[in-house]
Amino acid sequence: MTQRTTNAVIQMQHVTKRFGTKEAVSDVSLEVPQGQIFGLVGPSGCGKTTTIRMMTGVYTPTEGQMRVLGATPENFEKRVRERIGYMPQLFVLYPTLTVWENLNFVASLYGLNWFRRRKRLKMLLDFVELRSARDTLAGNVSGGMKRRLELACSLVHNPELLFADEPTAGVDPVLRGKFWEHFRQLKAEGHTLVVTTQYVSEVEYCDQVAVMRNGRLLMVQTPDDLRRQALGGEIIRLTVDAEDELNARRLLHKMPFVEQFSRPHGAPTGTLDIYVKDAGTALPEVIGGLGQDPTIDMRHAEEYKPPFDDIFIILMERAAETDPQSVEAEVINV
Amino acid sequence: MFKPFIRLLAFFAKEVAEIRRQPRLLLSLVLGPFLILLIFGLGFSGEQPRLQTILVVPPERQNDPRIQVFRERIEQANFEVVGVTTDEQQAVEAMRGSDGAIDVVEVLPADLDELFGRQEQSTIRVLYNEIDPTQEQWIQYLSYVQVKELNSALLLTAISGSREQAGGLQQFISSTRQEIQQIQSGLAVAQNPETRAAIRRLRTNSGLILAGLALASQSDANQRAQSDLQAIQRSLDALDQAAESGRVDEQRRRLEEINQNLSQVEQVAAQITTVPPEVLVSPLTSVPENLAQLEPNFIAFYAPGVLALLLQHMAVTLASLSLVRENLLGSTELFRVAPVGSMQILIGKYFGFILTIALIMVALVGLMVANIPIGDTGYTFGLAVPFVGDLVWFAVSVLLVTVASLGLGFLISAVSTSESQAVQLSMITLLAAVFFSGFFLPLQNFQAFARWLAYLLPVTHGVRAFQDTMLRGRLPSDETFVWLGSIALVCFLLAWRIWRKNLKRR
Repeated sequence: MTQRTTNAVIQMQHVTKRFGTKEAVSDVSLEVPQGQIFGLVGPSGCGKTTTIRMMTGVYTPTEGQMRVLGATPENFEKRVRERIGYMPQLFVLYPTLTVWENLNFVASLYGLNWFRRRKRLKMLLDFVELRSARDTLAGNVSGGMKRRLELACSLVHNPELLFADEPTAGVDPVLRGKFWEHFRQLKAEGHTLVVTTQYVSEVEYCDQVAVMRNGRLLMVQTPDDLRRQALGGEIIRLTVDAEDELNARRLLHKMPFVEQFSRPHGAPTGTLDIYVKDAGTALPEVIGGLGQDPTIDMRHAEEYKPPFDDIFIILMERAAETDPQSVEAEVINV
Repeated sequence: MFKPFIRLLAFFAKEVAEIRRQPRLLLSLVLGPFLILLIFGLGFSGEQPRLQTILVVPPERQNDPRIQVFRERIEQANFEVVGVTTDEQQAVEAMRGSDGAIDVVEVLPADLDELFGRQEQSTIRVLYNEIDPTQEQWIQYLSYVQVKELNSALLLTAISGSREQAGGLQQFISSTRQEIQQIQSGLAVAQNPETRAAIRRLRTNSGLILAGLALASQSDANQRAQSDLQAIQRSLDALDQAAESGRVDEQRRRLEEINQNLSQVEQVAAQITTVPPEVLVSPLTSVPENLAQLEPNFIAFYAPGVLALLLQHMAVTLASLSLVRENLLGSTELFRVAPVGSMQILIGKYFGFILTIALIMVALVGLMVANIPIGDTGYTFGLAVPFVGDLVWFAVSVLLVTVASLGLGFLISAVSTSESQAVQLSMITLLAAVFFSGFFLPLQNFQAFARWLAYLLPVTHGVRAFQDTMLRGRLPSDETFVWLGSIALVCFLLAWRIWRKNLKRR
């Protein structure tokens, strides 16, 4: 499951965290390569926050080994901490301070020089689009603005490695899009980001995704591989005239690269999802094969990528089959 | 710039900014104590209220004019006679039903006329219905003062009577000396009838004088005179027997005895007539003289205590809520990840609060000591509390009390798990400060173990140090600095240790 990379900024080896008798994270091993957006996805209570807190040194693992930026988190020196940014899940700044004062406070925590700080804070306020609210008390700004303020605070010292714990939770879709835009921009600047999310559709924006369930790591994949693994390959969605569906099915049966096909749930007659190993190579052959039959009126054929919500449900259901006792405890936000 | 210093200043600036955002809090911290002191100064007379008293007199004395004299004497001892009755039960019921309006029922003895004739003391009964121990002590003390006052008055009357008797005594001494000379000149004649007649005259006169003295008073001088007269009477009896039997030597010896006793009686008579009765009744009196640099009024006296009490309460409250709020807000999660240490957080907060408290103290002390005339109105702005001491040492004392109180507050904050718990502990500290700091109740009134509790409170040393510097014009004692320094250090170390443990990565 763990991909060995030479430029990993985070390495976890069989890490377990227990609180009393409760095991919050069980035997997790993963690596986060430098310069990537690494997503941690899973239902509430699956251990995402605990994992991120272990990575930042807030929690100490009960078992296993961890290295972040080459150091053990529980023994982080100040110099290592200065390279890490952290955006907690909840708003932990001061409601009685203004947006600017909160930013200034966090900048001081990271020892930012006063002369450099002013320019940096202005730049960040522009980055998170909070310039107009700089003198507003943090307690008086909207929830979305609070999250943006926290993002700015976590970036105030220009960290190499940013941990963002559910940055888009409770945020409207437009703002969520902006957050991911910011993250992509940061990635482009060379930052490494570890982002947890309950919104599985957001894994699309990640370079790699770790799927967690009940404290266990189910898989670490790229979004495409995740989809492929869930579906067992790729999908070509074919639309023919409703009267031609039977003929099309007959022809598809004869194609050796077609693993299976079926009409999607709720789709009209004439629509078929064809499961293949590689949609890129299979699509021309499907179009060519069906096109040779003049009785089939083929209207549309293209690679279909089902939303990650569906992928996630498939993965969770599959995991529940191997561990049925834990299904009831899960809350899946799709 | 030095990064640890910048981190420390982060908390300094944050605390100052957060308090600055609460102008009402700041205003109440400055104006609250000022107004309380002002109202206290205007409204507190400083005099003990007079005890409302019903006087119960013996029925046969109801119309006796001496009762009026008695009443006047009682009222001089802070009793206010609101009624006179002969029915004790009725008076007691009236006191019980008065809901505190009647403090005391005073029952006079029936045997007022026989005060000196009896061989035992007479009793004035003072009945009260009181649950307040301080008020009870006050009543008991005033009763004691009242009886002393009455006793003095009675003695004064009696001694005045003695002086009249003493006039007769001196005549008696003069005539006795003449008689003795005559007896001595007739000693040669055996069984001289004139000698015996003279002895009988002397015996009769001395008896009369003795009876008069016995009725006059029981003062010390009077008693000595009586004793000497009795000795003279015994000598006269012996002289009479010697004259009867014609023993001349014995007569001479007895006459010598009488002469000696007469000399003693003469001295006593001189004392009774020359020493004023007031001196005889109260040979000692006191003249109080205050050597303090100032004789402050009530506002001025209580101002340093209020200042110390407010200072401790303000520091304890601010600090006690500080760390617990960080925990509740979740900021500690940020601190655990950030390159900041528990010591930096704590010291930064100390500096922030010290600056805030210092500014409040400047404003408050300014309002207290200000005495600025408001135009021609005759009024002045400020409480005009005197400040005779060294401002620098006062500032040092304020700083030490602040640091020690902040330490106590941070300790409370470090052990508290909720804001209400921190507030509760702060209020308990305030309550302890009111009772044990010596602000209202003198420390000397407490047992040793309770005094130790008082010494653990910064305010106890603050009250003393502020009074010393503001009102006495002297430096606070070394002991004050040692106590405050120790409290500050121990509280800081304990708070830091607990806070560091709370902040530790889990």
